[in-house]
Amino acid sequence: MTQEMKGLLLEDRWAPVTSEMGFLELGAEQAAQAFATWEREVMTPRGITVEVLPVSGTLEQALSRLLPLTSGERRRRLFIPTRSTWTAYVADQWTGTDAASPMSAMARRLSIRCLRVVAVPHTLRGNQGRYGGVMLDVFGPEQPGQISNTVRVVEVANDGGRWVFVQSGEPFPFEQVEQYQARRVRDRFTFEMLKDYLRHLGLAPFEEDFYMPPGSCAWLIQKTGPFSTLVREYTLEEARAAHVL
Amino acid sequence: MRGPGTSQPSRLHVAGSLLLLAVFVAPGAQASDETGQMRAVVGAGVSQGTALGSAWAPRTSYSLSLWGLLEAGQGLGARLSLLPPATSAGAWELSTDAVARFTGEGPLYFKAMGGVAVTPRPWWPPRLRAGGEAGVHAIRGGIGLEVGLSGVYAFPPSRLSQGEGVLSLGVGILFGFGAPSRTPALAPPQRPWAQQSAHSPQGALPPRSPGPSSAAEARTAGLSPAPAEGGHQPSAERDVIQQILLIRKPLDVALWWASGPWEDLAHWSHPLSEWERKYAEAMSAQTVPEALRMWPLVTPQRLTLEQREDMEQRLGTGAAAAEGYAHWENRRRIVNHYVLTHPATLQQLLGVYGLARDFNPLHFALERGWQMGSGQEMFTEQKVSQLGAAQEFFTALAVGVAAGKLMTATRPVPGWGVPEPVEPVLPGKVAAPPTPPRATAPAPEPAPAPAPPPPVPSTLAPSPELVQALTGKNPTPQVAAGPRLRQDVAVKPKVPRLLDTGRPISPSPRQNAQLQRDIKYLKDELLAENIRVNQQQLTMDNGQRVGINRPDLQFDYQGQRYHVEYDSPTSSRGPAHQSRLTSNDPEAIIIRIIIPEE
Repeated sequence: MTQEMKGLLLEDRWAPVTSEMGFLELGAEQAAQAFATWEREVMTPRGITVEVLPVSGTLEQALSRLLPLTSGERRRRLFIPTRSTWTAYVADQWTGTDAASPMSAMARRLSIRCLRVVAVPHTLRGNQGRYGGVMLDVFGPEQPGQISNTVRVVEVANDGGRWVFVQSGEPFPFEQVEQYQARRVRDRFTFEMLKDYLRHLGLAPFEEDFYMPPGSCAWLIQKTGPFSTLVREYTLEEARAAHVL
Repeated sequence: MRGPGTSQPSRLHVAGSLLLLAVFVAPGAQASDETGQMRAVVGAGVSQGTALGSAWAPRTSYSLSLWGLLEAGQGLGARLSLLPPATSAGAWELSTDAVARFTGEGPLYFKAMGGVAVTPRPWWPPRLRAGGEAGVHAIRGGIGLEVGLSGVYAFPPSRLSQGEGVLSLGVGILFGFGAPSRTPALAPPQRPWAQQSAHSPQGALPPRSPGPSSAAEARTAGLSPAPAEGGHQPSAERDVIQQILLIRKPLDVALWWASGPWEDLAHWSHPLSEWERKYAEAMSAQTVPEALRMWPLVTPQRLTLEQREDMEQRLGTGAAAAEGYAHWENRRRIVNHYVLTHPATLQQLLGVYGLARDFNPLHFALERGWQMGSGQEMFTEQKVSQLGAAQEFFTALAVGVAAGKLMTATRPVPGWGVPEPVEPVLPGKVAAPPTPPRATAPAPEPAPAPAPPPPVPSTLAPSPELVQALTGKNPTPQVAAGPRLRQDVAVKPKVPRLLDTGRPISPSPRQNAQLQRDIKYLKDELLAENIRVNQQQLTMDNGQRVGINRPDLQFDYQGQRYHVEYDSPTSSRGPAHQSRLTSNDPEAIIIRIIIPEE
């Protein structure tokens, strides 16, 4: 059940930033440079500069380079190396990372696999807490004759008061498909199942030592220039007060 | 699903017994009530069942039945049932059963059934079925409702022990009962005053003696003698009591009065007969309950202004005319009183009241709650069965829930027009070779229906309206923000998670394909983010939820929130959707896109 998520990354201290993460099946620097190249194509005509900077230290030190969190357009994105072939992706959005759009686009652009991973405990009580969800989206290269490059989706979430289970694509061999028939919607895809699926894909994204292996560094994409006037900055505490607690 | 082998003999025994019961016992049950009239009844039902001995996996089935039933609901019938597939790869099952229905004086019923089940595509050998159902029913007027639990065992003819038992809970509705049920809980109770008002005039008058009524004719009480009394010999046909005794039915009495005496005032202005006078005296007495009491007899001196005007037009002026008019008016009052207080009229009025009352779900629930608590109707104070009231309440509740399930099951199936999924990419490879679908793959929820292929992607361009809007030339005129809907104001600002954007927004494959093409454009070419499909309305950055309405597409681009609605050329919902979106988030930009119909 999503109320009982034990073992979230960094005890969920970095939620909402790490409540949703992206993963690219590519090295961290290569992924960051590819993303920056793509972003420059879009941003340079607007007079916005895109830099790629190395970030060393622990995972939390790397995450802190995203601060302050912002509203409006993204200013900072972080590509974090892992002990696997995957690179993690988070951004500075004050309501939490949106990994769906960048991962889908990068999978198509680089012809690689990308993931969107969501693990949020359902803690909503009155006007406090947050809607829960457990999600795994897998994106792949563009396929001839197909508009979407979504490979597989398995999601359980409370969609504003109602639990929904969404799946599309062909199941992976390791999936516990019989569990999708569970009577309670929220039991059809649990946090434990998500961890198991990710383990089969070669990831342990809820363990701190999975990130920043010795000798590696993360890569920060930072934009500077004329942003929209709607941009506002938030501390992590402010963001947590509004969207986590 | 095959059950444990040890239980097969007993299971077979039960199944065989029920089948025999259906075939042989039902005719006896029917013959036992020879006085009842058989009537054709059509039934429709929906049920949800699960196979015994396997994992909980309920499936919904639908049935149509034709019955020959007696008044209380017992008889024989034939039923056709349809069981849709559990998964998109599953098969339909069609079954036909002979059914015997048993019921007594109470609300319980029992059915025994036996028949055959077939699976047309792919073709499976037919299986025999036998089973039973027990439940409660309510029959009112021409409609019956039933809720029951059934068990059916289906097996191949040559392998009796290799069958499958299914337990189902279902609701059904029966049309065609010609008269109310004999069930005591539902029979309209009689009230003492209603029985008193069942005044066929004999109740108020002495037995009628043979011969003309002229001998009994008398002056109206308190009136002066009619000048022509001695020479006047009124016939029986000019005595309203005589006519009432002949006609009896209140509607017919009213029609008779309207077609004759109402117009022909002059022939009904003679003094009241003894019967007429006694009826009036008896029914206007203080001992009669006020609701049923007849107005007192009118005298020439007490005619109203309107009555005097009517009199002058129809009889002229003078004391004789006034007296004659008073006699006619008193007869009119007798007829009106008889018609309006007749038990049949009251029953009709109560029926209309009950129908109007029960048509409103809130009033229905309140009324049944009152009846369950007090044993009386709320306003008429008629005694009712508390058990019957509870039965009606829960039956209506079950029917409502079943109807909701049925509507959900038969709505346009999400999943139409969804592009085919891309095969998984194996680690270390750029693209995975196609693999055959897994036999154990579960159906997506809800199960997608086969849909026509979307337009070829290469020929599909992003919507011109979207492209123009994102370059600052939105072709959709923006509207002023109006008052927000109460349900949108009340929504919690907390934001649900983003769901898969591959979900459809419409049964139209073209709209879904265009949506996906637009999403691809937003992601790949514009770096737009926070893209949501068919989820509740949010502000920029997923900052807060501002409505329970679900725009087809919403996203952020260059620090601006956009909401997109896809419509067909014939749809008229677009402006209303746009107005609501703007009211909930005046800062957002709304784009309306018209997709030509296929």
